[in-house]
Amino acid sequence: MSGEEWADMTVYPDVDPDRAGPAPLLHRLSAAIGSVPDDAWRQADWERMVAAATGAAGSAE
Amino acid sequence: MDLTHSTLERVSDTELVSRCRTGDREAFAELAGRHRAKVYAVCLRVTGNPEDAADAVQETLTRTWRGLVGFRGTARFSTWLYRITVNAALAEVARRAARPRPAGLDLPDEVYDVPAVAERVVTTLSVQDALDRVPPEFRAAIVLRECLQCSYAEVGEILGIPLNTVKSRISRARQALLVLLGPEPEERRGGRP
Repeated sequence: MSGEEWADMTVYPDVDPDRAGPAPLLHRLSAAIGSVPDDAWRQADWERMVAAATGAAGSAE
Repeated sequence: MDLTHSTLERVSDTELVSRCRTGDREAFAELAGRHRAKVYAVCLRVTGNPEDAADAVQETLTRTWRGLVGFRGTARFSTWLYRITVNAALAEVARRAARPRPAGLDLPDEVYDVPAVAERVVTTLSVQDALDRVPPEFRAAIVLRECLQCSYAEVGEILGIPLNTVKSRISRARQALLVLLGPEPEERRGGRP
């Protein structure tokens, strides 16, 4: 299978991870893109961001 | 009505949206919190670094709060929110475009060496590096697909592009990632640098 065929959506995501070929890497690639830990902010920092959004914009009305 | 946080946890997105439209900031905090992880994931993957992602998230929150008054519910709230998120992230990318950046999507017209690519260990860092080299509009499509597990139709709805364009962008993004995560041309040829 060529790389172009591999990357084509017609062979993904319905690939069998146990099948020979590039499927394992595709799954790792997919997992790596989708794996983002939700530890960017402490809760207090997040709450400040939300407050800034609503405060900066004033009332929703 | 003044609801406690624990009460708000049981309220649907739709009801929270209604409350937000009356200026209920507690409802907005609950609503935003529910989507926080996904909003951040999209912003991080599209912008490529935590600092720009934080700016994009802040912009997303602000635009969402401001826009809720006009939100009529013709689309799902999450779809509408993620459209704002992607646009905020892309705007951040554009704003920082003056930074030195790698070349864009300039794929060689060749058959890629799949086994050689498969031998590479894919790490989160290298994937982000590769994503950063994919043009933003292609990056946004594959990030929505992989981070939010959106269907192709949902990606199209969020980005406002036809289904065939979604398929093309995701396919092209994958091709680019394969090339970018593959060995250097010198390695591929087995030659010296």
